[in-house]
Amino acid sequence: MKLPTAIQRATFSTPREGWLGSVPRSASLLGKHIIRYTAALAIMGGVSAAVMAQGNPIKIGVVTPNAGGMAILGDDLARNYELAADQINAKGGIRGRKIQVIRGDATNAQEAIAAVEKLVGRDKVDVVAGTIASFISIAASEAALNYNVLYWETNSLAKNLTERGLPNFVRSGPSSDHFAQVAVQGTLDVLVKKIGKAPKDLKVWVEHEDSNYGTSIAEEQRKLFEKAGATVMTSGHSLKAIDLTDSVLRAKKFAPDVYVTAGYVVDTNLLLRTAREQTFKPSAIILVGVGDTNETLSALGADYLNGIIVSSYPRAQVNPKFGPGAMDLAKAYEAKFKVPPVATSGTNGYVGMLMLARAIDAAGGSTAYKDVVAAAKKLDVPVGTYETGYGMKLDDNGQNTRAMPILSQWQDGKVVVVYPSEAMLSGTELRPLGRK
Amino acid sequence: MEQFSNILTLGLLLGGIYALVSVGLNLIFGVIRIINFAQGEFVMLGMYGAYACYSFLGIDPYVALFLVVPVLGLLGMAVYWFIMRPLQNESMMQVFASFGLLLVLQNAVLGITGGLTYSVNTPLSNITYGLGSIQISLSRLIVLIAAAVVALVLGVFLTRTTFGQAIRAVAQDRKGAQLMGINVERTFMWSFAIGTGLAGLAGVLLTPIFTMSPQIGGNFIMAAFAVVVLGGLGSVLGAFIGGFVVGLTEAIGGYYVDPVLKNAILFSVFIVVLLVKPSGLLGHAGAEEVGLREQH
Repeated sequence: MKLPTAIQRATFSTPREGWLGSVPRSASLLGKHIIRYTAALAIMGGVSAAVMAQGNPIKIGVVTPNAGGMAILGDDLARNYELAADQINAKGGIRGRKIQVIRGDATNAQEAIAAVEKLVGRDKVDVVAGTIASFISIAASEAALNYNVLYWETNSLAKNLTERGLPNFVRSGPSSDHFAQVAVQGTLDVLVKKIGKAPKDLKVWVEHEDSNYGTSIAEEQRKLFEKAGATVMTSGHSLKAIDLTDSVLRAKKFAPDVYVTAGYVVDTNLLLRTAREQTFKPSAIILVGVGDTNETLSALGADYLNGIIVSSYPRAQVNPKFGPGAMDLAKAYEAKFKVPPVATSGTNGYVGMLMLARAIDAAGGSTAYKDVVAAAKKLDVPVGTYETGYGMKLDDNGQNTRAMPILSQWQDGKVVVVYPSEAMLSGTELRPLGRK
Repeated sequence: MEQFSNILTLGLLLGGIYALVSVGLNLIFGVIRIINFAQGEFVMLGMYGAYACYSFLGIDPYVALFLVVPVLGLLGMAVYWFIMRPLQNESMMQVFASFGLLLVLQNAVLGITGGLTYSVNTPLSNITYGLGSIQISLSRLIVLIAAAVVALVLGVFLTRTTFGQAIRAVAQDRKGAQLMGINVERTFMWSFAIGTGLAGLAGVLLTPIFTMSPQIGGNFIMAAFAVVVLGGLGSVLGAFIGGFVVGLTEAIGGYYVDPVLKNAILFSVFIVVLLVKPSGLLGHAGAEEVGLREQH
């Protein structure tokens, strides 16, 4: 091996004092070789360590359901994580380190545990993020804690995720409470004017599918509406019910001004079809969490849907001042994946990944969960920073308090943002609610 | 009173749905004594078949049934011949095989559709008639009429035609029927095919009412089993009436008690009926044991 000249001179050349210090002339040839090579290795080692620290990416394992019934949403979420990673890396990464998203697949709790084991054990990720569904999140986050790894939740809604006291858990997106709150707040702020009644005179029927998801949203809505003085009835139904006419007839008997329902696509569609069939016409219908996609449009048609309100994650078509870059994000998604963005839940995930990067940066580049969680809790990012209009301020449970869903309205077959007013695109308005 | 007539109407229309979904199951369970867990999946396939005809061929679901029902009948034939027949001496294995078939069919549709739900929204599907304060949707009325027609036709087929009588003979005594020269295997195959074809018919006629997902079959199957057992195994009229018993119980329980409890109420009624009359409302005494008795 040909050594750098300086080292050659220092170890073999005659001068007794070289840059390595004095070398006894009587040192054996072997000793000289040892010194020479050790020095070379030390220098190269030092240099390559510096290079390695620069090039070693931060690995983020993302757990999403890429198969099964949630495949479309899960895959869309993972794509948004990857898109966020591209954007972060394009700006230099996190303190010079690129981030690398590695996918893990889980459609239920058992698979979630296996996915985390694979990501942490085999792929050696630094952080785990995810995921569309709460029952996956619960298991994945606990598995991550077993490995002392941070779990950064962007999408799952169950309230108890941040109430378990899991020290490695942060939720960057809204909880089910926020979905409930925006529906109530929107009603009290703007819908009442269209309905023509004061909040204390309102009759509200809160319908919900009867699992933990629907029930927790309904409970929160009941609480908030009653606080505002409205008369409230809640009623549950099974997601798998063949018929919901009984639920609709009970609501019709109550004659509510506002009919708000939290469920999934299949039961929401059946409720609306039944409502139409039974000529049930509350002044306002609000769908929580679903009902803003083609799956509902194709079931009900644009005419019937006109005026119906949907509470959902923020969408691309928001006012740029409210959600800077939202439309550009939609274009970037389409450019990378050759299809338009699939769901608003994806954008929520994109922003969540950006927040994670910010938290790691705030922790000085450390990915240890204690450092990141502590640093994240100190962040005070104002509302309107991200494409979704979110800010970032975590409460003591690690729940972001500045991630609010929005209200949109079906208008001639299109979903238009109507609340909060800052989120509305110029030239749009809240139209009549459709039923009298 | 007005509201009660509304609930009664609801119960009858719902009963029509259950009767139509169950009639095929009644034939398979009642005759071949196979607990076909995949029966709901054939209803689901009927829905997706109607949707495919509607979106790719522009055919209305009510017309599509002439294509979808025979196809599902043929599928049923193949399922019986290649999956059920080899297991005919192992009735538990047939149950497991039908469960496996359920998973295969569900996941095949899931794989093809990616989990997106579909709906068919035709002008006919939106028509509703008002009778005083009662609202009756045309699609549900069609299901009710179809259930009655199918029950009638099947009843006539089983009592007045040779092949129908052969089916009943095989249901009563397999060995005896064989000794009389009836080809039991072929009878079973055709019974299975008619059963799955009828499930497909139910699926097609339900398409205007429901948003379909790969898992929707599961929503029908428990109630369908309740209908068949409640009505009386193997009794066509029993299954028809059983459908209305279930429909009315659900409607009354759901409206007057709580929609969340209607399943619990239904199965309580189910248990009470069976304690009093184990063979079901219109089943012959001992019919409930036939399936469990050794068939040689």
